[in-house]
Amino acid sequence: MAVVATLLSWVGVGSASAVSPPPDGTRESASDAPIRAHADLVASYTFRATLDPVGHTVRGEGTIHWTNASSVPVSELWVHLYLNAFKNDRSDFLREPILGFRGSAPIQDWGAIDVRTFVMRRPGKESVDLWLHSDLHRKEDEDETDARVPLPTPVLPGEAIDIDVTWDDKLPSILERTGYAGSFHFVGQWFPKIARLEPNGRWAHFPFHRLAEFYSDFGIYDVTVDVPSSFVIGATGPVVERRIEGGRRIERHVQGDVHDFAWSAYDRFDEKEETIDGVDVRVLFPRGYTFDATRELATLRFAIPHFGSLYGRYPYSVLTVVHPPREAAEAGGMEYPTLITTGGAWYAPLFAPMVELVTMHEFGHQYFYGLVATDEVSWPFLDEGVNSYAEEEALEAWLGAGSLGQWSGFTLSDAAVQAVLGNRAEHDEPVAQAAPLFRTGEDYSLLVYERTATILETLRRVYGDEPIRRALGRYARRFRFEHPGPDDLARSFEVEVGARAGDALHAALFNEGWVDYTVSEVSSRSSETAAGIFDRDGKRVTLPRGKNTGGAYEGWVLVTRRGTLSFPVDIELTREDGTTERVRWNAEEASTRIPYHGTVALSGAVVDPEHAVLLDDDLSNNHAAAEAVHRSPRVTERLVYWAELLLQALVP
Amino acid sequence: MDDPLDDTCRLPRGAEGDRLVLLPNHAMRARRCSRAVAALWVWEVLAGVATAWPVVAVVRSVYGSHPHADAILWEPGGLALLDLLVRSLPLSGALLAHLAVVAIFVAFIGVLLASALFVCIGFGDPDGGSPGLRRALLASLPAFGPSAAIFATALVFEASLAAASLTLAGLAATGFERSLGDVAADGVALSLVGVCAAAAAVAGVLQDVARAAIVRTGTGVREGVRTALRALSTSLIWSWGWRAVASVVPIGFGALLAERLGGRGGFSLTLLFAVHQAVILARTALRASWLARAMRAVDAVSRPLHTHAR
Repeated sequence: MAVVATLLSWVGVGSASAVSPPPDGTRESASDAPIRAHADLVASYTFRATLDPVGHTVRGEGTIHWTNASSVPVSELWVHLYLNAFKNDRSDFLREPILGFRGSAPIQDWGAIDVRTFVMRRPGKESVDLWLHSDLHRKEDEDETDARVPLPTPVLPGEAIDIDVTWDDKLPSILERTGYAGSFHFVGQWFPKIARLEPNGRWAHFPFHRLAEFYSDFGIYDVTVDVPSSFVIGATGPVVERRIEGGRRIERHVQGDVHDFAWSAYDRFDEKEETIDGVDVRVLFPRGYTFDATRELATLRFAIPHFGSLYGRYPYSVLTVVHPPREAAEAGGMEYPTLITTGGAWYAPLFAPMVELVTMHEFGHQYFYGLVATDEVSWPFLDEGVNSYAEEEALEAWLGAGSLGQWSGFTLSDAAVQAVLGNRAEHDEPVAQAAPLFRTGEDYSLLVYERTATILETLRRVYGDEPIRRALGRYARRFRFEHPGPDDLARSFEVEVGARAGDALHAALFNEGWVDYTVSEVSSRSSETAAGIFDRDGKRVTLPRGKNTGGAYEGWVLVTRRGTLSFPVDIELTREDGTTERVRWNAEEASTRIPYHGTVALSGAVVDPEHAVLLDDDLSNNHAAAEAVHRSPRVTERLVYWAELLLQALVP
Repeated sequence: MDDPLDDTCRLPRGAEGDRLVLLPNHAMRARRCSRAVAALWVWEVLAGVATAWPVVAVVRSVYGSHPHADAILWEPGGLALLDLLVRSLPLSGALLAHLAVVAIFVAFIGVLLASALFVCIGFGDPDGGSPGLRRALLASLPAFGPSAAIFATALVFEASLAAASLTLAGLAATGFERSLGDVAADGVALSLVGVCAAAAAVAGVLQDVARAAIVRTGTGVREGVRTALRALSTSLIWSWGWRAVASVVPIGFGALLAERLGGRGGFSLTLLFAVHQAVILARTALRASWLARAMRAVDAVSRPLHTHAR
């Protein structure tokens, strides 16, 4: 415990308590006062890892300090052995019939983790190697990623144990974020990791699924990484010791208030360093990728203060960015506490800022996954979806409407791309479900990432920037260093945006909610005098049709809403002289008929002209004209020109 | 039967059967054929409309009745544009098939038109006047078969070269990335593509010169290629090269203007249309200039023809 106490003071981490005053060296500010300063330290790891870059193995040893933070005694531990997902083709990961998304490339070299010893120490009790009685896999199930370790006697609530552990990793060829390619090594999910124990005593343990990520408790990670001296190391947390010894580079990284630790070693890394908003940012990139590294730093120059202002200040002193070489691209685009991996070709064009997008997204995960540590397996939309929204919001705030590209007068925004993609899968299955339940990788991607972001962006556009910022800001601050669920997110929206927004959020996430606004009819004609048979003053008169001589026009616009979601929208009426008039429709009923009277004929109408409702199922029916017209002068001009250029290239 | 040594029989005949006169080498200039160049441009406009029309029709059916018409596709963020593109994806197969059919048709008509342009460039009335497009077309008919064969062969060769270069480049990029690093490996790959592109360019030059030779000498494919090989020189490739580079410049200007004007309509759109068509016309003129240069090169290595008018 003395070691732990020393570490606590070393890395600026207080005791496991809420809202403690920030110790020296931390980065909390007055504006962050409502935020928890530190996490409850439940699972802490003190390890030494030795890399053999030729055999692609890691020898690990050290101690796990674990506290039963639940309210019930615990008679077993569950331990994640993620690397065993790549041990053989009987693992859940490799056996699941899932196509699409990532991780579907065939494995070139198997990987595995072999725990050698797992010795529990408790004050006043005899040490015992628990691994001898461990249950690596269930009956008739050969997956070895989720081990059960019986305890000789229960660990009581609040009681802590220490486990001395040794193990050997064989890294796989790069697959699903981890492994090696040549001399590049990315070492993620590499150690025996205690599953998270929920407050009610339920273990949130699970096998490593193809579409799922992770979930674990906060703690302190004190890891000494030992690699050949020609290698450069990037790892979670700041370096507190560094030396070259016997041809080996040895670095000790210590970070508190985190729930994972990953590292990378490569003998061809270049690096750039910069302090941004008080954070020491270090970018590691393959030789020749300087342009990408520069762009990643530029992105973080915007992202760190921007996310800090919205979701609370980034609390760590370091951030490491690893840009893998091309052959290890599968390791890119991943998040770990204080370490993110990015991607992109060295010649990635500026007009399509994908390098910036990946960097923004992965940095956003420092909040939605890192600090707000949701269960990524049960509720993947809470990290990937909410973070995809945060990414598109930040990119638009930084780059404007062309946040994903600008070309020949066209602009493309991240929000538009996410909306169009996300809406493709809206009827397939619910957004809010566990990762392994998604039927396809494409559904997982479109619904968890794009659809969730589109739901939140729709709420922002309909209800305004401020309420949504307050809702997400409240959620991110309130649940920093905690493990919230979907109800916690919904409650923030109900409180800050209102019950209707909360209902829409719930329906869209859980019930495959959808909506389609349509301008069904537009009618406009000259006002006419009354015509027909009338009984007036005791006489029957027949009045002929006749136009109103006052030059007046009358008509209507019929707008309908289909689907289970409803958002208030604008309806724009356009007159023949080009002038417009907007009408707000609450859209709680299924349709509305808007009467029109004016001195100029009505030519057409558009519902939701600003595209506030990005969830709209079909944009092509959002407008209609009083009379059929077909004009496309701009497209005709452009397409004919481009066709001419194409034909000139082909024709002799 | 024609005497194979009597070159006069190889001179192209005009519409009325009167012989056209081979012009002196220095007179073989594209500027003599401005009407033919303009006619080619009109043909390109028509071909462009035919190529683009199915896509235009899709856009018109979706946004033709929008109060802002197709300007909505230029809205910031590009939601409507992207939505339309994604919704139209199922049509992409049919649209590509249409494009392929039109392109093949236009390409082979283009062979005929290019032959007619060669006639306009290299031959004239006995009084020195331009033969006119109609007479040139008729006179170029005999050259169509061999010219089309050369064009098709060159196209297949260039496509094969492109496929080979991409395959080799991919292999090089992945094969060398571990030993050289990504950037150097891509450099090797790019060099391979460059070599193949240069070979394809030379093949393209040979193709043009061979077709010029077929029109100029009235020979078949084999003799046309032989003549082209005799005519091939560094200066000839340079003549093609600078025109190729020059013809890219107006595209850049057109793109800049299009980017500036975005989705504006009215006068801006009219201006853009005018500039874009000027770009097409300029490129057509540069192409004609190159074909004239090819004709002169062929003429320089060919036996002199009798140039009497009948």
